Parts: sequence; C-alpha cells; structure tokens
Amino acid sequence: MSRPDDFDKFLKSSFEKTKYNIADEGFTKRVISQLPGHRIFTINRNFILYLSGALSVLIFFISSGYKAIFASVSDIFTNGFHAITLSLNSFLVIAVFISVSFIISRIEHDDNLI
Amino acid sequence: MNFSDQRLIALVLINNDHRAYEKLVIKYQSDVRGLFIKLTNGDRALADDLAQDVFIRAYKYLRTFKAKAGFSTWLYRISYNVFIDYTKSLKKTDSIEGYDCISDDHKDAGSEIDMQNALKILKEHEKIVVLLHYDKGYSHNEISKMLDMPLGTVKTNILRAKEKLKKYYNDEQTR
Repeated sequence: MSRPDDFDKFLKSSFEKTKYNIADEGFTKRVISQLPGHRIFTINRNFILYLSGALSVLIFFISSGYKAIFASVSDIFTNGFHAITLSLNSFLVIAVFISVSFIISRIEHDDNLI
Repeated sequence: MNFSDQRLIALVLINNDHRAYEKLVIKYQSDVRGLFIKLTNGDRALADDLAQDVFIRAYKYLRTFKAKAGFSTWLYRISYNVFIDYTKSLKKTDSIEGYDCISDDHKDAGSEIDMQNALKILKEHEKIVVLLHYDKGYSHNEISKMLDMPLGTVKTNILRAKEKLKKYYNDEQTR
C-alpha cells in the first residue's frame, strides 16, 4: 500500500468533518415494522392460557349443563347411563380446549408459525 | 465484533427477538444512513429507503453472517450490494440527482456540500471504495475482501477517484 500523501490526509479530514450522527426512533420503527414476522399487537402468552382456560370452563358449563358438574359417583347410580354420558362429554370438551390452548401457546411462542 | 453484538445476534437467531435487532439497528443506522447520504449525493429520503433495505436484508440473511468480521463490515457489504442493485435498476437515462441539503447533524455543513459536489464526479464503484477507505477507514485489503473485489481493482478505483478529486479541488481553488 502506498504511503498516505497530503491529499490523502486532506480527504480523510474532509470526510471526518462530514461524519453523520443520525439515529432516530422513526427510522428504527420503520425498519422493525418491515421485518418478517412482525406483529403490531403482542399478546402475552399467559393471557392466552388464562383466556383459553376460562373458555374451557364456560363451554364446559354450557355443553354439559350444571347437572354434569355436580355428577358424582352417587349420581351415576341414581341417574344411570345419562349421567355417565354427560360426564364423558365434559371431559372431552376440557381435553379439546387444553389441546387448543397448548397449540395457541406454541404458536404465540414461535414467530415463524404466525 | 464485540460481545454485545454477538449476544444480540444470538437472541435474534434463536428467538427471532425483534427488540434485540432493534438495538442493532439503533447502533449501526447512523453509519449505514450516512454512507448512503454520501452515495446518493445528499438525497436523504432515498438514502433512508436504501438503508432500510440493508437492515431488512441483514435480518433475513443473519444466519449467513460469519462472526469473523464485524457486524458493521457485513452491513457495508450488504450496503454495497443494495446500492449496486439500485443503480442497475435505474434506467440509463436516469442518474442519481444531487440534493444540496444542509444537515444539522454533523460538524461542518459547508464541507458537506463541498464533499457532495466532489463525490458527484465519481463513478459508483469509485465512490463506494473511496468512502469505505477515507470515510470508514478500511484498508485496501479489507475493502477487497469485503466487496469481493480484486485488490488491484480496489487500488485502481481509489487511485482514479483520488486523481479526479484532486483535479476537482484544484479547479475549485483556481476559480
């Protein structure tokens, strides 16, 4: 490499005088909003779990009716086969919603899935 | 590359952590945007569009980043590609127009106009190697590796650009 001459020094100092110091929030936000997988709203993972849990209980009530909730072993003997069916339905609904909430929590966790 | 950059890059790669990437954008945007302002003869809007493209490309290809060189060096390499793609996309009749805007975010506004006018006379390849060498302080070898350009070509471009700039400044002084 050749040794720097006066003109090299002149150029370096000229560029030094024109160094920019530009870092603003607007540009940063603009870039981040354009990134793949960027979401405007970020929902907390726990919030989704609580919400799906609450929905499970709600649908449990609606689909099975209060009788199923209070169905105990003694009820099965008194009400027979009908009570057993209601209880199984309830457990099925809960199982489905636990699965759904698990999938939702995974999706929320991994940006690539959205 | 410093530890902080490595940690942020790891967070982006493992968790797709946009906040970590945001920190990298904040840290390096001034260098990239400043480079493009000079390359586009002071057109700030265009410079920001190109700089944005650089950061988005960098995010997409972050897995290909090898930590041998610094993150800024890698960003300059992408900047070069983005700029060359942009100039290719321009029709032959078009050229990058000069914008003699005086900015208030550096030390010397008069020097900025002088520098912008001087850079206008250079070809795109000459301009980028001159900026990387004199403005960013990279050696001929580093530029050669960074841009994947033969060392002889880098030296020729710098020498040619230097001669043009010398003539320009001499002419300016005699006016």
